[in-house]
Amino acid sequence: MRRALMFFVISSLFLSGCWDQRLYKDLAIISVIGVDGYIGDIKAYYAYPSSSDDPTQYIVLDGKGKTAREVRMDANNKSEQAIDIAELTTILFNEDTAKKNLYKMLDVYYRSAQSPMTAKIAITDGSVKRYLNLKETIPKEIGEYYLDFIKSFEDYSIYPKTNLEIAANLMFSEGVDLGLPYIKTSGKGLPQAKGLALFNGQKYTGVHLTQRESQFVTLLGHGKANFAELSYLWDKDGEQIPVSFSVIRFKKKKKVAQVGSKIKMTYEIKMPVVMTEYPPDHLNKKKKRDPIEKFIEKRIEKDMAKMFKKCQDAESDVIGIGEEIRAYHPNLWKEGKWKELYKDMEIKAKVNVQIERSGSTR
Amino acid sequence: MNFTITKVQLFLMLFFRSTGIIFIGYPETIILAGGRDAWIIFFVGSLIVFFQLWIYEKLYKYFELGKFTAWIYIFIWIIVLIGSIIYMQYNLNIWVQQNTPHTISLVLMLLISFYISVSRPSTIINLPVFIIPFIFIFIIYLLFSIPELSLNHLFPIGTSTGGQWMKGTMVAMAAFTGLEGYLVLRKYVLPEDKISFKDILTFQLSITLFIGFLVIVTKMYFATDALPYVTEPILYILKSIEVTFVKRLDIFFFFLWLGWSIISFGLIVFNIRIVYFKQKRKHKIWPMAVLHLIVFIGSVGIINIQVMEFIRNHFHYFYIPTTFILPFIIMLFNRRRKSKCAEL
Repeated sequence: MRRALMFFVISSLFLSGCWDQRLYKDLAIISVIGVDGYIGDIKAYYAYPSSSDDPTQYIVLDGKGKTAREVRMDANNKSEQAIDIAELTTILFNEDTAKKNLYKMLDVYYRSAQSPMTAKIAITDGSVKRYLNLKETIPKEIGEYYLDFIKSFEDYSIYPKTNLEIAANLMFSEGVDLGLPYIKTSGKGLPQAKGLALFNGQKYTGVHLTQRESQFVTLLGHGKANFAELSYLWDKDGEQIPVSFSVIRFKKKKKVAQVGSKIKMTYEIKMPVVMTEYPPDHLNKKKKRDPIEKFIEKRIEKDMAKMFKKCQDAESDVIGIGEEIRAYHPNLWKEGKWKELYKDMEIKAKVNVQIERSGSTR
Repeated sequence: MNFTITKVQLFLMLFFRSTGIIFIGYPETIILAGGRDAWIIFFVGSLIVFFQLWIYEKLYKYFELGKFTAWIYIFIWIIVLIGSIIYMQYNLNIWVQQNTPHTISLVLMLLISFYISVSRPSTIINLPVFIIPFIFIFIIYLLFSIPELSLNHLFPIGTSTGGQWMKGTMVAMAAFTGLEGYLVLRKYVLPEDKISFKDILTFQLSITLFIGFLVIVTKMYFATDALPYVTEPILYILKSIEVTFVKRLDIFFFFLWLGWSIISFGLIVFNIRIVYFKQKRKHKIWPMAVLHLIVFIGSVGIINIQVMEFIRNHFHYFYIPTTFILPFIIMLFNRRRKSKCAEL
């Protein structure tokens, strides 16, 4: 009897988890958060699914307040359930919010042991409210939609892989800057990926790259993900010819030199491709392939030069050239003054394209 | 106490004693102390500890604790136990149980340790074996972070200052805190189980590779300026890894760490038990109950951020006095005394 009693007394201690139990029925499981405004005057929107039968149905709670936590408390007052962000998939920030100091807005998520570090972050063109009022158009659960939307661009090497952890980490790195998906929507239409929002430290510079430029940033700074596709229109002898291809491999070598007070960096890129669109055909002949390869090389070099210029003008080292310089050319690195050197750098790309396959036609 | 162990059991106990408790937060401490060269400093510190272990093996016969030195060690180990349980409880509150009162989870952990401490020695001797498979699982999951690692973070080398090297080396050696357990347990190794240079090298290599791996992964993952914002970098890395079978990998491995730490805690208690019961004692259970009660009283009221930061910033100061100065004074003193007795 005494033993049984002891057993029950001791076993009861194992119920200690009950203090921390959180039942699904008591919680509003937030999947997307949208943030407008800045510390002192923040407005946030919290979207969570409202029906277990129809995942496209969701409720948006809004909250106002001076701090991120106060906003959440305000939104909480408008729901019979407690807001829980343990399954958060995406945080959307208004571009004006990001222009101030994004880390201060992210800290509330980064510091919490409950929030998932795998949540995606995106910058929106205009108020985030529009991006959460898409009940009729979004084909699946809103959180899942935004997560898959951003992931698909990561898979196609258009956006570098980013999540809450990576974003917060990069905001503290001097040698590499953060780039976040920049999305846009018109009216009730589905959101579109417009490019990559360039950051300088913890602030959005107000400049975003185009999708193509963003793809070059991803390939140069982070390497090819699952796929990388490009498409150009070749104006040849007055005729417009579509030239599309998939990148098989993307190999780069970096050469760094000091020219006077400037740093010169050259990327030597080797890029075997598979042609996915070329109506004139006859790609089995070398003399046909050579001019196409030259055309692609020239176009990519030109686009990359534009991308480098845009990044330098915005003082955003989103490719991570600074890290490279600090690690392997420390004599050229100046702690705390990298951006001054970066914006005056001469950055070039030399591309070597080889058509390795032509698809199922010649 | 009558028991014998094999050399494999000895090294396993030492491995879990040293790595348990600290491994989720240790990389941050050494990186902040040693700067960019922290990972090299760690390997240098490990080399020093290797030679220390080798000297231990040569002199362990002279490590005989008198009444006074035994109580010094018991006192130090109680302090280590209190610091360890505070660290475990604080992290439990941060990562998993925000609302559960300290007392409940403290009592639970101490009850497990108490049960181990009054069981036969074979219980604690064999407990580390259960964790071995999880080490490999843990390493495999950490390898999932490879795409996010940047080799650039390790370079350039040779940028740490003299001060960083000094402090970094102290912190590097502190990764092996608890090594004095070698001297306590060495006498119980079966006489036919000879410990060779190769055995010590293998042990030191395995522990160095394990902790070194954690230090390098942390260094390659975090930007240097981002690290001070994070307290337990290993858990943060695990938290950022996506897997399909579990939503939060960090929580899964947090409990692994907790189990690992309780075993490490039990091994410190085992050291106290060996030293305390070296002299014949009337009661077997009460001293262990009192020990756990002291740890409970010593920790329950001070589980807060100030104490945590104090522990984080000062734990490395324990290594040199407890693992270096004190054992060598004891061993050299006893050696000298024995040689004088032989002369007489």
